Amino acid sequence: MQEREVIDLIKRGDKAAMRQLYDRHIRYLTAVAQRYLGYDAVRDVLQESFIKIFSSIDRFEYRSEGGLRAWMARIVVTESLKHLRREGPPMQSLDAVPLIEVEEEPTEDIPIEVLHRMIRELPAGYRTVFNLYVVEGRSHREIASMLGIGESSSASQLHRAKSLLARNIKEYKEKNSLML
Amino acid sequence: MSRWSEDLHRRFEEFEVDAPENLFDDIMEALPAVSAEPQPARVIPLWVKLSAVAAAVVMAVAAGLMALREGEDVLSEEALLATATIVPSDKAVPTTMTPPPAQTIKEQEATGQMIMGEVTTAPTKADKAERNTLVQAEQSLPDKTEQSAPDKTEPANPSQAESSSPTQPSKDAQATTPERQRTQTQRTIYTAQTPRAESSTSGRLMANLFTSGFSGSRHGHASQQRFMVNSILFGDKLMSDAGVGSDDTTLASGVDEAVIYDPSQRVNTDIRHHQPIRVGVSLRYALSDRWAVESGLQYANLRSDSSSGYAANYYEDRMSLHYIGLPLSAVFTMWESRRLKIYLSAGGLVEKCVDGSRRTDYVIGGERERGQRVDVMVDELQFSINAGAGLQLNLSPTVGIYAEPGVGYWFDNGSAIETIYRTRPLNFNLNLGVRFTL
Repeated sequence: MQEREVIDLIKRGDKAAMRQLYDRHIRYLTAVAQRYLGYDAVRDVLQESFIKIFSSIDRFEYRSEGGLRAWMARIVVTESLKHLRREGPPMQSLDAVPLIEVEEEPTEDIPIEVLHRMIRELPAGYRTVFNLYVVEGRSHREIASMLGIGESSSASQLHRAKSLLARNIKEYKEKNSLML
Repeated sequence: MSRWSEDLHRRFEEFEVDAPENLFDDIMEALPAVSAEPQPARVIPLWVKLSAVAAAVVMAVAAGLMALREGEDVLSEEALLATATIVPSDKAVPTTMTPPPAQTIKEQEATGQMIMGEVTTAPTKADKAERNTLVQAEQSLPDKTEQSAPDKTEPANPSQAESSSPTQPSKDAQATTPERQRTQTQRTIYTAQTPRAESSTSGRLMANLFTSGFSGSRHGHASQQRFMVNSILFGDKLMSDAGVGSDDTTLASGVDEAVIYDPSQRVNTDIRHHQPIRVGVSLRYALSDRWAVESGLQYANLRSDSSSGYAANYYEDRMSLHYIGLPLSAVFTMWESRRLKIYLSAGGLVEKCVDGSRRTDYVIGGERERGQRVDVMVDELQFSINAGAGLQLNLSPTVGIYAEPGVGYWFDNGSAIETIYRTRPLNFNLNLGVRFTL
């Protein structure tokens, strides 16, 4: 069934259509939630997200393929950030951006599952900024506004996230190259 | 985005993991009102039920009034009979009676008089007794054609006779006097018994067309504000929880790509509630000369417009709600003349939204995109109380115009939908209408 039809059915409360939408996107959305939340509360956040999705789908204007998934993902991200803010320590405002740019470690050879795990393992603050900046493509200004921190803080967090990640990637390569 | 980032972005777009177990069932449980089959969005049965009940109430009251009006006739007739019942204290007083000419009750009432038959009585010891005179009102009783020497008249309502005759000594006492006076007294009695004051006990059906004249409220605010219109849309709860930027309502989620996120610009949210338009019919029943109770049926239309966004990118939302209301008030007439009437009223109103819709248009870079029309429903009942004064000018005996300035307070019913009832619960209003007196 076309996505547009599924949406129409859901607007009328069709449970089977809801199931279909859920099945189609839940795996992707779980990955998104994990990436932001780490190992905590993924299930709860997904539940909250889907409740929001089903409740507000009547306001969603279907425009193009992939628009729906992007919309759903945005809701998951919003709920994740909400959770992090509520449960975790407040985002610290870090000091100024270090002068040296972190070298971006090549990731082509690293399996995506591994990268996913590495990101999950980052500390919450770094993880959030990394996700928003690198994966979502937001600017530091946007991130600063969303998280209530300064722009330079955002840049610092990103810098540290990248450093950590670079180190992890290097370690992984070393470990696995021995086996290759 | 650097190439490195782009790479990661692309790869993560495709990446999927195992979902949590049984999550869908939990979601369904937490979701309100999920059905297995598609159902129509309208809640039609409630609307039908509600208006049927309201109509029935109005009918019942009207019918009751009609019945009471007839009843009054009957009652007064019986009252007449009761007072007219004279029981001589002695038995077997021979009386002859000339039946008076036939007359309808209505005529009697109109004139407030009654034409009595003449009675000749043999004087008895009963002169001192309470009830003496002996006129029978029997014009309207068809079975009472012969009256030779009745000891006691049997009125249509014996119980009433029992109660009224012995207990109306004062009225009858004067009737020992000669006939002329007797007649007069009884006339007095009868008129007293059958008041036909125009205003007090008759019912009134009023058709009111009134418009509430309170100014709608206008919100303009540039800060984060919970507005139902797109509360989930823009995750406002998120914003207020987060305290994300104390002054900016950020649009981090955004329902779709319509409103382009630009954190450097302030979001202006403007909500304008138009004044509700009300139309109503009401029924006023007078309890006494001064007090009356009023109920009826009202319809109100609540319109709200809101827009939010930036200069070139914003949305416009138009919402229209239809309410049916059942008022109940007490009315006190302070002063009344032939032409003018001043009264006070106080009461309550319960309203229910029976239909509603909203449409959101998006404007992106100046181009407008029409949104879909969506059904809206407020499930909660809306209670309010009101008080006011009224001035009525009678143009003719049956038609009058009135103005009722007043104040009303609408109670918060916990509904998420923001209407003028919620943003301005205390409202001044002015009702203008036409009142027909039947």
